Amino acid sequence: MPDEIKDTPEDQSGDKPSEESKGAGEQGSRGAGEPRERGAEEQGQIISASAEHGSPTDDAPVEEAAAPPPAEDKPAAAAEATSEEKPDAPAKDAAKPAPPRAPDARKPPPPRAAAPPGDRPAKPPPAKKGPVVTVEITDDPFIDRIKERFTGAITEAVATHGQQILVVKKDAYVDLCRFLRDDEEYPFDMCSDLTALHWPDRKGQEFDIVVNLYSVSKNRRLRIKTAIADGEACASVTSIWAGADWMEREVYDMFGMRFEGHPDLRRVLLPQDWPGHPLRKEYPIGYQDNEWTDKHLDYREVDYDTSLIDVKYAERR
Amino acid sequence: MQEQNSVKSRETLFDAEEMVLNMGPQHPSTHGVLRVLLKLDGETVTDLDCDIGYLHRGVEKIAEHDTYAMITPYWDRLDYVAAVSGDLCYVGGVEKLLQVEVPRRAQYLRVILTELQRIASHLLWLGTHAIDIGAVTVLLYCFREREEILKIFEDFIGARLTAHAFRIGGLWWDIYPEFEERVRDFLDILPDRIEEYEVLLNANRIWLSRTVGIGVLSSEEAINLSLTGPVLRGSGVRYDVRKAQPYSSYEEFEFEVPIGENGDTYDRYLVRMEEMKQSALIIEQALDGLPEGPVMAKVPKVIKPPAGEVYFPIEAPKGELGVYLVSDGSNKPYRMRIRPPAYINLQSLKRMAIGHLVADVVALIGTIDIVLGEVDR
Repeated sequence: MPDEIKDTPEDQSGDKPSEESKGAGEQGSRGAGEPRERGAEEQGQIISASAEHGSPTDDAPVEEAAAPPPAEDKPAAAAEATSEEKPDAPAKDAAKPAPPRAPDARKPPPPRAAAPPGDRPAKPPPAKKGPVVTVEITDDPFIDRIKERFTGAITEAVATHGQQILVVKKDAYVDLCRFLRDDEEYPFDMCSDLTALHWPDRKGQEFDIVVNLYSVSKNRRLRIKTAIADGEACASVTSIWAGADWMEREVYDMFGMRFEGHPDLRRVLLPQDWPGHPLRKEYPIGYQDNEWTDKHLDYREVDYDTSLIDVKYAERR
Repeated sequence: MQEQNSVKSRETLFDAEEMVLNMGPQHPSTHGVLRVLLKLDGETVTDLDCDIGYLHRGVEKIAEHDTYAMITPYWDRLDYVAAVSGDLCYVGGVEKLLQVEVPRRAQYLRVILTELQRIASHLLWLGTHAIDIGAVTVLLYCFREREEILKIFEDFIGARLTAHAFRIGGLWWDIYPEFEERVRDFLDILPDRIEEYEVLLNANRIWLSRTVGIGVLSSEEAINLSLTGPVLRGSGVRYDVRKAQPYSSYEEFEFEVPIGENGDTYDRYLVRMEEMKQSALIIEQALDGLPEGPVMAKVPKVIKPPAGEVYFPIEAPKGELGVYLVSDGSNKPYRMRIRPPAYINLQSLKRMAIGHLVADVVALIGTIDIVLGEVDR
């Protein structure tokens, strides 16, 4: 968020008129275009209303942007200066987002094309954001207690976007789950969600089982992850949380890993004899299983030359 | 010979006792294409199996091949009677991943729209639930009020059902000038109308005999089954995501989270009725305190969240609707998991129905409040 806001001042100093005219034009046209049926005098109202709150739109970020440390502005300004010198090369970069704007056929395009380069050099910060978002949990006594109890089994304890994640080895997965449910301090009595992730490139650990836990009494969330290999079975947690039943069935349905100890492991959303598991990364999206549809849905290629529709029309004629 | 005969006769004796009844998928009271296989002993349910997936569209798979902005409309089509709530869940998740702060006016408008949607969804639930049990009048009354909400939506977004109101970063449009007045008009009539339903049902002998003591779930059982929403609250657990982990500035509104005592169908009915009243209160507060300002945050045109993952739950009309987004830094999510409240709540049908009569299964499907678009995804 800080990055976007930080960008705005240069953005506006660079091509403020175009930005404003564009915003006003868009809102104005929208205001006039949408409620066309509502009568002319109301149209005026709508436009004025949109113009009114149009100005805060532009002002607010500037005010906020003034607040951040001025020191940070300098590198960004420098980046813009450098980008200004070579407007052509990054413009190609910016060519992708530009086309949607081009059909507007308004004057702005040239300055707008120059503006994205200003954005572009600022793009790297998102990558910088990544590590800042995810931090090691160090000051949480509860997590420390779990780490101590499952020494060696907890390979990672991180918080990302303020959400705590424990990565556990698969041998200790069920024990940890049972421990968490029965814990007296933070009883995680609800298995809020259970799903899986497929990482085909991670050899030997192709799947992550992701369990989102919730403690109703303590209002606390915790995410457990455990990695398993392709073809390997995962232990079921249905004996701990009955609600995990259909979630595990769905994971089996979509990813194909088996859950040991599950009372009724069948496909749940797809037909029982469906080939393949769709949420695996190698499963193509544009795939149609004609064999299955032939068998079950009596699907036939329609021969349009002799189709019934034609026959009917021919009869009518 | 003798022995064989006796075995055979015993088998027929037992076989005749149990019968498998196939309910759905085109049964009017299954609220969509839900097929329920009932094993019956006389008229009593001894076992039950839900066959779902008739409406499976593979939204989670599609999402891996679409950009972040392209995915939003799919969420309207999950729970299609509460489209706005689905949108809020998804855009909220992406905004959290992007670390975008949504303008306060947009947050308030989102609250107004989702609460209107909650009332609309509960009205639809009440009408269909009542007609399943045999009260036809209520359906007509409920649709009368629901129509008002749909009209408000239609004038705002252009769609009645799949109202695609929210965008990543805020709202696409600001509200139209008469919006506030129309919502207030609706809120003026709503309490009287809710009273009308309650006069029809609350002390209705048929209604009571069909709902009281049907499908009782204890609070421990409900939590263990991962139930959320009114189904959980009917069992006396005060868990509401709006209170527990407030989003979209819900912490600024005063409202009660109603809970039931007995965990039966009647209590879940009472909880939802009270929720409608509370939603009306929230909307009123939001309209009174509606801040001025923009409705859209500064969001990049090409949405590329940094690599990471986030789970974002909201309180949809059916329960906790969550999205688990995993980003690899590209413009498409690496994985988008939908935590569908209706799907997970439907698990409890088996637990609730065993021991009850066939006719009660209809009441129980109604009380869980499923939408098959969300169950099957």
